[in-house]
Amino acid sequence: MLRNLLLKTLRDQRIPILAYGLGLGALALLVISIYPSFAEGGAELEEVMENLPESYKAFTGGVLSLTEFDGYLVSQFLIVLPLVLAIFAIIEGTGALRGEEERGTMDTLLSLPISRTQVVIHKAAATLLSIVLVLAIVGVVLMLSAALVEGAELAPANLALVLLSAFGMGAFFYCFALFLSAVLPSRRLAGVLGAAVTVGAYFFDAFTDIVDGLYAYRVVGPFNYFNPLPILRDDLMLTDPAVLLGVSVVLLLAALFIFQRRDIAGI
Amino acid sequence: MTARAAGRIFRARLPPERKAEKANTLATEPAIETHGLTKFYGKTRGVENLDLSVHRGEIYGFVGPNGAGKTTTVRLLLDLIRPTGGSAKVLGMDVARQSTAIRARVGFLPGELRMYESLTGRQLLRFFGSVRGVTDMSYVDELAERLSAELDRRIGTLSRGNKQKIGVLQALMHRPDLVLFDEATSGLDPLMQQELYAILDEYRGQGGTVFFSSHYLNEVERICDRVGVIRAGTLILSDTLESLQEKHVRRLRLEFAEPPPPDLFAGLAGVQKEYQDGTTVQALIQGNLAAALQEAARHTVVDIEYEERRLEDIFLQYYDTREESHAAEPAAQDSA
Repeated sequence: MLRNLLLKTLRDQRIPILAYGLGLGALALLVISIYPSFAEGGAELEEVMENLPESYKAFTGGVLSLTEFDGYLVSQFLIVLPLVLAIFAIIEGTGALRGEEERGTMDTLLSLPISRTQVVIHKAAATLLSIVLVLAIVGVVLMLSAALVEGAELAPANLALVLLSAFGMGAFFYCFALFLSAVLPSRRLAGVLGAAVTVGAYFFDAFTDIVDGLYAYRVVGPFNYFNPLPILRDDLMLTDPAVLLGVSVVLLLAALFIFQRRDIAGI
Repeated sequence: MTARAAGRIFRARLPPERKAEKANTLATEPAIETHGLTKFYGKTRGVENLDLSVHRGEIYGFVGPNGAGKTTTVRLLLDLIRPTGGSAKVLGMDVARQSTAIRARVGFLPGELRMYESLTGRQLLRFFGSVRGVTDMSYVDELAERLSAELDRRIGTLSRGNKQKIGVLQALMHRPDLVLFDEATSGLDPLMQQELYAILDEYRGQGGTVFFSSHYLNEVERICDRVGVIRAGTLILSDTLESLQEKHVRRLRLEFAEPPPPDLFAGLAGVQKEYQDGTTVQALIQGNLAAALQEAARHTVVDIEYEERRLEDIFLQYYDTREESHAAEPAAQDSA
């Protein structure tokens, strides 16, 4: 199990993987299990949705109807999925470099014949694999729940693409946190800045729909590239996850570049 | 294929005779060699113009008080921090360019060893062993038995001393060519310290080199062949223990049966009489004990007291005399 740093990092993350996977799975199960009561709400619920203020609608993932399963699932579950993944990614990303330096274990690790590049690559690969495992648990729970609840229909290919988009979000936030961890002098600072950027980006994306003049700038925010509703409605676009993964690679390379050149902080 | 990848492949295909020649060259180079090695943290000096040469097969004591630059030196040698100036070679390889290859042949034990606390000692050693390519754990088991190390408890539950034992095991498990010990015995009880000294003696006997950074002078005196003294980031002395002891001024106190003549020891090189009071004479001796004793033996000596030679005195002597001028001076001549 501990043959290399990748497997060791995965081992360290086994409890978070289960906690995040099962936690999100439980939320998905709960959301889907109460869908029939929303579906029965019919016309009254539609009227309520139509009369909601625009500022509220901006936070529902573009959903205008809760009686249709895809809109319901997006507004009640999928909209929070990237936020939860971002929390996991930022904790792991900031801990990967600065966290390990502050604990003093980076000195011990780098006294082994392992390069700084290997450290970054192994840790990044392990955490991205952890995100895949969390999403796999979520995917399985979603499919099983949807199969058991009347009116809840999920096409496996569409769901897989939604989860790929969510993976793109997780990868982006992990690589962003890793970059902060390489650049900033403390884990706490990297964590605070990472969390602030995540929350800020979430609100920024919502406000681009309702504030005049902001719409043109929506492309700079990561949440612009997570659009589960069109995917569930058979618009199987790959550009969004491709953009997120592309930016993630750039951030990873930047983190690597800086980490290779700077001093390892002592305790 | 990139030029770098091609270069790696090319280097990997050196003919056997070239490889052997290269290996021989490397084996004769010092285990550690630094030239003008300098590290500043902003405006704060870590080490400055450090010229170190540690021979293969010796235990080199690197002595200095807290904050003198010992840990900075060790971290520079491991490429954990990058020098502001100068260069360093370890086992004939350049630290800046070949640090991974160096670390494959070096063991490291800091005084404040931090390890993965959720793992047991055995899990940690298996992990490190996998990274280091160690498949046979019998040597680790042997060392663990000698040090009474607890391998099956989680590291987080171990006392500092027991953690340090795991640290010793991970530093030696791959039978490295060089070990860097940075205040490594702190936390070990006296019995375990003795056992560690014995292990290091054996390791040296098998050709291993130890860079032993410490501020415990008694242990440096106990196990080291040569000593370097660092103060405020600058090496102020590097020499064999024997030579240091010869150079060190020691006090000789003689009790005669009759008062000796007032000109006793007059004109004797390396001997300076401090005082004479009746039958008692006290003198400072620097290396010329035999001549002093011959001169004294012309009279009836009833008692002799000769100050014990301790590294601590030598150390303090250097610190006292170089208090003001240490920074600008080079290290004292190495007689080794």
